[in-house]
Amino acid sequence: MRLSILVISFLLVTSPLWGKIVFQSTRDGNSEIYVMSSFGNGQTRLTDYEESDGAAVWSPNGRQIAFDRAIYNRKGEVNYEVFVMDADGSNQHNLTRHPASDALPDWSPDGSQIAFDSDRDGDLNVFVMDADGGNVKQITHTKFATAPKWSPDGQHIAFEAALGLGHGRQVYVMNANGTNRWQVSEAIPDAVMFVEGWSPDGTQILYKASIHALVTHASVFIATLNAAKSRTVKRERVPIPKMDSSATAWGADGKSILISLRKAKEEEWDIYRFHLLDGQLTQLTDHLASDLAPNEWNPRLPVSPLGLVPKRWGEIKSNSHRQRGNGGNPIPPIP
Amino acid sequence: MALTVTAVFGAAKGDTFSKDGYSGAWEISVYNLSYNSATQRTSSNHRYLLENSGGEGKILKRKYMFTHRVLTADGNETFDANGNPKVDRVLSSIGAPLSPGAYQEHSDTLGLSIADLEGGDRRYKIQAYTRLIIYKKTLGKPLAQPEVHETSSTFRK
Repeated sequence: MRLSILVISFLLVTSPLWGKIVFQSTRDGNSEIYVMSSFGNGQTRLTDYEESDGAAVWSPNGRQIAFDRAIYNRKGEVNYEVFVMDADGSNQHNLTRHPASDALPDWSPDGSQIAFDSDRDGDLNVFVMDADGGNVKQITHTKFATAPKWSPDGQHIAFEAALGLGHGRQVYVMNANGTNRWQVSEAIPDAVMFVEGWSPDGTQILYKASIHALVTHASVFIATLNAAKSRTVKRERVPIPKMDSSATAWGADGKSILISLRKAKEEEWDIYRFHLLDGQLTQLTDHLASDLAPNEWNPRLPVSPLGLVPKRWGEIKSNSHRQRGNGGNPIPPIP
Repeated sequence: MALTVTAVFGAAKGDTFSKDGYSGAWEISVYNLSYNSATQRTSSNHRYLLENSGGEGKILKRKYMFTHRVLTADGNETFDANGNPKVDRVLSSIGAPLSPGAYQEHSDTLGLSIADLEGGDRRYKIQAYTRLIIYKKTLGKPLAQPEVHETSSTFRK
């Protein structure tokens, strides 16, 4: 009986139905990519490479993972390349194969394209390629644009950039073809902005503001966009615990964020889930190494609905009930 | 992280101050900035708190003491009577007159402490500017638009 319960529990927590998180960790001495369940169970290494692997992101169907890999040339110069592997770590292959550094990949929501940044034009800019590495297109033309994040509807890309005189490193949104850029974040003196990702329903963007880019002086913000995704209507600070913080991401449920935290004066980072509704913090990793850059996929709550908005049954039922009680008039969604 | 900053002034635009009589006083102001960095250390252990907001506008204004190698118009080094490379130390940012046909070069290596910078796969770009402003001695006004020389390096944390 006890064995059965253990087996069932193991299957439940390791089942893909409960979602998976990829992250990078230095627990084997250098940065490698690991996977675990959404609860932190079953931590398994996926890559075993002599140099650094990082920036792992799930494909929309959860069958593949894009990441970048540091490759050193004969001169000892590092060159990053965008790789893709199957969800179990097999079939790792280089998509970019370019002398310039190509890094920080992100899938389009239909899985057909991958955005990444590259310095192949001499500056750092955002590029898009087909999921097989072909048809590379440059979509920004600035001095420094990085960390592209595709919106769940596929129409926009958020990124961070330093665009010139009088501008700090800020978070921007543009059309997926690079047009109509606008600024999401609000400048804060001495702060550097880092884009972290879209909410699963595509209405909000998570970003960080770090004074002097320091993890010791970082704040997490959520920007709420208007329906047309053409301006920010609200910015709210997320009340994360007062610890050093780095590398956040939306949870696949849209109601939590994944965040790497470390205690003051310690070197190791662990990944936590911060629940936005009640402020509860759940520790997912606990290791004498740095666990960073989490990215969650959950098939029950698809990240790439292409127009579909993930809703829990309770929300649908509640909205339906409220609408009936309001004479059928439109009711704002539950926050 | 280290970034070597090298700027060469003079030969390409040498007419501005080598032949036209404006070779009285001149000034080099060095502006170091970064898109996103914390504290930067020069090779001579001077500490600079750099521009951190990431833009090109807010800059650290520091008059800087540079040792210049004095080069010929062909880019060759010049030597003093003892065979040592001829250098010209710029004091308080006010330099000595340039010889006609010569130009000067200065360089420095900047190091950046990245221990507490945001990690989890972030791109950073450290960037340094040097800016040469040529003043006419008597008027104290710039004679021309400042020459801005830029170098940068992208790194990952």
